[in-house]
Amino acid sequence: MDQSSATASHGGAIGMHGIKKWFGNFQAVNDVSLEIRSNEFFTLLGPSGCGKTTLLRMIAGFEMPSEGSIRLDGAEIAHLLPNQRPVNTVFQNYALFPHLTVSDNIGFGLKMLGKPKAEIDAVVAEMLKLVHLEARGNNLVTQLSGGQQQRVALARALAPRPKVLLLDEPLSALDLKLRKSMQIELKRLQAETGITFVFVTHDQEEALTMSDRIAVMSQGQVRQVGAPWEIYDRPAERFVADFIGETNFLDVDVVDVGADRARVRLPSGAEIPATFPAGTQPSGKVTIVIRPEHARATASTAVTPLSGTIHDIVYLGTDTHLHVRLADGSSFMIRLQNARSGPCGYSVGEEVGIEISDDVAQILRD
Amino acid sequence: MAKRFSIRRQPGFATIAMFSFFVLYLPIATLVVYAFNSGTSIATWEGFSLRWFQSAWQNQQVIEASIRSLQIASIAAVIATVCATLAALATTRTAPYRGLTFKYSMVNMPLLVPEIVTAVALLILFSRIKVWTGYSGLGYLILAHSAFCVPFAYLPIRARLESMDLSLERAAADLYANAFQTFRYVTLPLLWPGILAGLMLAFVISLDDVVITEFVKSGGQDTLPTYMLGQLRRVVTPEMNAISTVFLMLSLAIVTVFFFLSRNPQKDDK
Repeated sequence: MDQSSATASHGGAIGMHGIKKWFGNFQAVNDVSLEIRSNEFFTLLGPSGCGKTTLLRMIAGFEMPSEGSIRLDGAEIAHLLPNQRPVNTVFQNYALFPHLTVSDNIGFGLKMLGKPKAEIDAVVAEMLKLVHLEARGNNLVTQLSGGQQQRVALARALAPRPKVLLLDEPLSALDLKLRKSMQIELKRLQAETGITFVFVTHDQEEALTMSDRIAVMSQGQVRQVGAPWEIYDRPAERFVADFIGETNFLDVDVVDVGADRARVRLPSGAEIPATFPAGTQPSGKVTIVIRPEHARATASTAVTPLSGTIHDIVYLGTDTHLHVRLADGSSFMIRLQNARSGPCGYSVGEEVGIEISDDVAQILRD
Repeated sequence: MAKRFSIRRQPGFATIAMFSFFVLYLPIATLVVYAFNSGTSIATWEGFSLRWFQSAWQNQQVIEASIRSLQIASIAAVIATVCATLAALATTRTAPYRGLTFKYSMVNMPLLVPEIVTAVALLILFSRIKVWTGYSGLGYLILAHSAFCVPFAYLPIRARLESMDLSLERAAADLYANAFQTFRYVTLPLLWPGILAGLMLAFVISLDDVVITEFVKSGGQDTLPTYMLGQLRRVVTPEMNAISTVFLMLSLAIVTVFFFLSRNPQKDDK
């Protein structure tokens, strides 16, 4: 890579404060404040229409916030035009220039910046190598496959060495295999270039795989920000827990609250420790979540905190899901990893105890 | 599986189609054939000859009218295309606002107004201006042709702009291109086939015009079509056929190029 950038701190920290955006009467973004750190792979995750793409477009400059400020390394950029921001975008449909060759597409940004031809050529060669398209420089982009076009779009956005790279669901048009390998590729590029990546996706698995931190959004608001494990294991509210992965919800009573753990009483009467979101003080009736892989079925029902009858068994190849009917009539899912070949050893109608791993229950914010 | 309805399989389709083509093209075919007649009649065949092409070629009036036609058509087409390009950009690269549809209709109005109305209006206007300025050159014809060619040039350019992916211009802006650079390096190259198509359409329309030219022209400003119209009032020889044939070929050539230029480029992908 370019030496100056490898040594110097690259910057690229984004601070958004009080961002609101209306389209007519529709509020797409409702009071979002976010700090995106320099050199981090940050993901905006949420269902379609949650405002994540609008947020991205405001960082790029294609939309102006109705209210609020956007700072890049401390400087206000909300009022700048897209071409005045050291921020580049990888578009969902790639938006490659069909009348230009691969090399000219990649060199476009540097050419607009008025860089000398020798420098442009050097960077273009470096970028072609970075995305493994050395032999394709003189091809028209329309002659490339979808995966190759994707890599050109990436190289084109990286070539001017932006402080921040914005990626708007860039993998959604690729097939599963290609998507998996591009996920790893993107992570590698982010680490190699040291550029802040802001990635927009509705695919929770993609978000968990690649991100340093994730912001989960819904209805124009940020619901939770955290590392992938925090989002997955310590969801702050029902929407986050429900949107990411599969989970069990249990209604419980708070018995005792400590500094960072509470004791909760399950419907069965058993008490287990549970974590809770920072800044909340759980009390009374609350809901906890337990991930299906954090519970195990046992033959003995005597000492386990929960027990019930298996009413469904779903075989998934890598895992088997046991659906257990609890005493109060609700269903509890257990994920068994299929460590051995053959049937899982349980049968429908069987009475089982449910063991819960230590420190896996999380209390949700109301 | 039942076949979907297709008009092609209805009884008599082929017969009607053939008959329609026949009626459409028979007069033109006759005209072309008699351009090669060696006699002086446009109805009695007397043998093959190129004498009428030769005679047209040596007719000073024909040559002058042709040059004038080409002059007017070239200049008017360029003026009309520049205006049409600007109009198309203004009506497609903007957020919809009240009055946009009105402006769109205004640009296309000349297509709907009967030509004779425009012709009379221009005759009256220009005669005033002639009195005031004393100028009576080709400028009036060029101006008139430019005006009625604008909507013809506008249509293919607008169509091209509308089919263009807007995210390309957004991508250019994202990659540090200012408004002018975006137009110069992205919009214009992609729009170019549309502009050429508009230019050629305007050229053909101008070359072909009789009504407005007839009203606006001063003495001695005959274009090829008005010259031919004048000749028809007197004696008709296959010379007219020969000139028409050359005209036809020129138009065909331009329309063919137009066809290839206005094909949707997306179809060429993959």
